[in-house]
Amino acid sequence: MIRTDLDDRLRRAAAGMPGPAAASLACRIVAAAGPLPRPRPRPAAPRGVIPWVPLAAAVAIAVALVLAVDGSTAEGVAVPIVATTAVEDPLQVEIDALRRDIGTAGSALGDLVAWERFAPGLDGIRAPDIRDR
Amino acid sequence: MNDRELLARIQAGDDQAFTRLVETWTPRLLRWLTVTGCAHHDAEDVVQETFLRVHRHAAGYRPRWAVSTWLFTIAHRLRLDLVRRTHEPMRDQAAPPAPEPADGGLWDLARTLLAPDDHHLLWLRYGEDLEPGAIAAVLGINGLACRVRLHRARARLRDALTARGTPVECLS
Repeated sequence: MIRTDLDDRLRRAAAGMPGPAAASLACRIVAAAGPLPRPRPRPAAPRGVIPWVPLAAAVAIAVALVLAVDGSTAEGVAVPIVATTAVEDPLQVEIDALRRDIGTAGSALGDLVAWERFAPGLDGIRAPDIRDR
Repeated sequence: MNDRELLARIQAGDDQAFTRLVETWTPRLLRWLTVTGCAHHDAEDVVQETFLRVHRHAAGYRPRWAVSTWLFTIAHRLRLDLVRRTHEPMRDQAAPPAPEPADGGLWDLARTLLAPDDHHLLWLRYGEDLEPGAIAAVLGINGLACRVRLHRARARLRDALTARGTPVECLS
C-alpha cells in the first residue's frame, strides 16, 4: 500500500513538472540532420547458384527432427545407412558359413569340402585344388 | 502511429517520420537530462547528437527493442561521453534544493536525498515509465541490481517523508 502511494506520487509529480522548451531545438535538429539516406536495395542472389548453406542447414534440421521424433541417437541413424551401403558377396557368405560348420576353417580340406557342398553341379568351375596350397 | 512504426518508416527513408520522432521525443529527452542534473546547454547537445545518431544509424534499429529504450540508451551513452570529455559531473550545482514534501517538490527532495545515480534510476522508472528491464539496458547494469537499487531508493525516500511528519499513506 505504502509503495503504491509513493509510486503514484512520484508519477504525478513527474507529470506535473514543466519541461524545458524544446520546439526550437527539434527544428534545429531536423535541419541539421538533413534528408535521410535512401535505403539501399539488397542485392539479389545470382541465378543458377545453389544456396549450399541454407541447403545444409535444412538437412541438419531435418536430421535433428528425425532424431527428436523417434528418440534414437545419432548411431541409430548411422547404422542403417552403413548397412545399406555395405554389399556382401553372397557366395563368400555361404562359404564362410560352411567353414564354420565343418570346423576346419582356413584349411585346404575345409575349402574343398565347402566347395563340393556348395556347388556340386556347377560345370566349368574348377574346385580348389588341394595341391595348390 | 506508434514509435516502432515511425522507426520502420525512417528506415525506409521517410523524412516526415524522422521529423515527427524528433518532435515527439526531444521534450522528453531534454526534460530527463535536465531533471537528472544535466546543464541545459549540455542537455541540448546530447539530444541533438542522439537524433543525429538515429538519423545515421536507423538501419541498425531492431523492432524487438522498444524505441524508448533505444533512444535513452544512446542519449545516456552520449551523456557519459560528455562527462568523460569535460571531466566534471553534469549536475547543475546552481539549482537550489527545494526539499518541500508537497508533490511539486518531491523530485527535488529525491534529488537532494539520493545519490545522483539512484535519482536517475528513479526518474527513468516513474518520470519516464520505463520497466526495470529497460532501465537496466539503458544504464548498462544487471536487471536484479536495478530492482534492488530501485527498492532502496524508494525506501529512503519513503523514510525521509515519514521522518518529516508526512507519511506517504496520509498524502494519497
